[in-house]
Amino acid sequence: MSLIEPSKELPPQAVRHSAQSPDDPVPAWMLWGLLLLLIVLLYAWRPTYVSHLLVMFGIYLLLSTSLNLVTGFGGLMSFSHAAFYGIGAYAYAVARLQAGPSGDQAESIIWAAGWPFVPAILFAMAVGALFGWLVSLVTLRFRGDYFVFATLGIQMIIFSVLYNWVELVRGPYGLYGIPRPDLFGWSLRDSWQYLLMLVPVVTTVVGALWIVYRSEFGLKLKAMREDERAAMSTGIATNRMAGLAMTIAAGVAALAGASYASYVTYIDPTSFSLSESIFLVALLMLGGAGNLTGPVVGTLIMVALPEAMRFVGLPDAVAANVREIIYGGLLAGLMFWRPQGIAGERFVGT
Amino acid sequence: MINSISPLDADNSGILVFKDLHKRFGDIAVLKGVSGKLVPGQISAFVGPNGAGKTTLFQLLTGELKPDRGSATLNGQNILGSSPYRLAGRGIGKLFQDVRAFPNLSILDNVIVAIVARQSYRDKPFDFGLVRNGRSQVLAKKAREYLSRVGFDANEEALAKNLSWGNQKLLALARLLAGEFRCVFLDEPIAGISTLMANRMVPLIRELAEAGVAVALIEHEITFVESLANDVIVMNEGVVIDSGSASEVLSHAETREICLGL
Repeated sequence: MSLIEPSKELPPQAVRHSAQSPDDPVPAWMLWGLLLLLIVLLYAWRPTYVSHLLVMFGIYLLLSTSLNLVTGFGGLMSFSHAAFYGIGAYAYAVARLQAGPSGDQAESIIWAAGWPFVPAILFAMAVGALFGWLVSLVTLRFRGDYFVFATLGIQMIIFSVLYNWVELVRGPYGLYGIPRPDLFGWSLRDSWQYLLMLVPVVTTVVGALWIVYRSEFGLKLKAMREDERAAMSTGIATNRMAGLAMTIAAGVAALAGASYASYVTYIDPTSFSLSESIFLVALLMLGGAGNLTGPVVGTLIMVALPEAMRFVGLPDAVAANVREIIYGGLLAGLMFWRPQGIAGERFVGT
Repeated sequence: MINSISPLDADNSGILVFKDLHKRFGDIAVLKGVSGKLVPGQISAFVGPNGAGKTTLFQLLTGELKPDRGSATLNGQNILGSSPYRLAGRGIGKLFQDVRAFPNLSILDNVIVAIVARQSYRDKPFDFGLVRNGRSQVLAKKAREYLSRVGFDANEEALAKNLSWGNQKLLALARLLAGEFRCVFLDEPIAGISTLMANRMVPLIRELAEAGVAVALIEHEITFVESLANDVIVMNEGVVIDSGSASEVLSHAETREICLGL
């Protein structure tokens, strides 16, 4: 509403602020607030438990905000996001591992480069983006439910390759001893040090995605989501836009994967299975899509919920099942009362 | 069949010239050799009963369908087989029969999309607008100009899906204007809207033609066609059976029977 007549007295800063769309309420303070919260938490407690949670929150934030570009903006419900996450993790791992002292593992796979940290991260992102682009060439021939199933198929294929091609990445045995980050001689060894590196990375990438959300590109994706025929009739090359969105999203997912691999130092394909992809879509549905707040809220809840459950003190044997039931119930309830998710702009779906 | 169809025997003086277009869906031949042209500054109305092939013809010429046979050129260059967004980039715009405003975008964004699409694709084909602000004040100001041209008075931040049908049509028209096309196809622009709203539409369409745009429209409302069209093309069962000025074609008994049921 404030857009109608920006009054002349307003300073330029205020005018720019008022251009923000009303359904995307003040994400800037949210980012800074989160950053501040992270720093405060870090220095107040510094327990591994908190920093571990925050690292996982950061990694999932990368995953949810990138999936949001494809699913929330482009309206394409993709079930292959975990595959790009996995590709990033494995690309980082093989780029870092080297034949040497503990070389038996590295020698048993086709390629292990032994690169330093930064090139390995960039390599992982590039490989992820490349795969995202290739996958988009195939899957964007479909729309709606068919697109969902095409991405589901891609997820299964990539998972099967990671799981069964033992010479490539040791399949179900996984890769262990993945080097943690080394930045200019500074080795990150524990999780709060790791957080110091991750916070700026996540802030930068999520901030960049936020700019992309608000860009002309984001608007064109939304137009495509709303009505592809009409979008094309205005001159939007919808396939090209969606392909670009999938490429960017896969690159960011791969960054998340590389962060994960460098953090936990052991990966195997089960972390990147279909259920992980479903989890990511569910996360977006829960928080809401099409703006920045939705994925942030969704990630917060999905990362915090299992931890909150810990304090309830359920026996280990049932805890996991109860958590699934709660997720399911939450989603079903949301579909019923608030299909656009807690803080979203529009229903995620076909 | 009425006398031969001289005005439409396509010479190449029009901006958009199409010849001998054929299209069949399964067993049904929808278009059986349709030729014609659209001229800058002229309003050509396509009339005829349902199933005559008018909408199919529009879909062929806007890239949404591919013909089985025939040719079509825009300023002498082939347009058949190009996708709709490429044709939009080359100056062909369309108002859909079922409107197709972007439902979950605001009124303002609906128009901004068209401005952004025109600027980035037509003028800079490799610029995706990845970081340029899609809601800048410059764009919003331009969008407001188009909205005020169609006399839009609703709250510009309202979502398009909450508008009445008539207002959605006006919005779609504003979006079409924002595309600054050279040749526009209007599929039943006043179908389903009040006379009052339709009367607002007429001068807008006329202005478009006066600005040098080639306008093609499909319409069942004969009085509307009479008041607007320079040229009326009567179609029936996939062929053009008559054409000329509105008064001319309506003086033919068979045309009147087909168009008006008289």
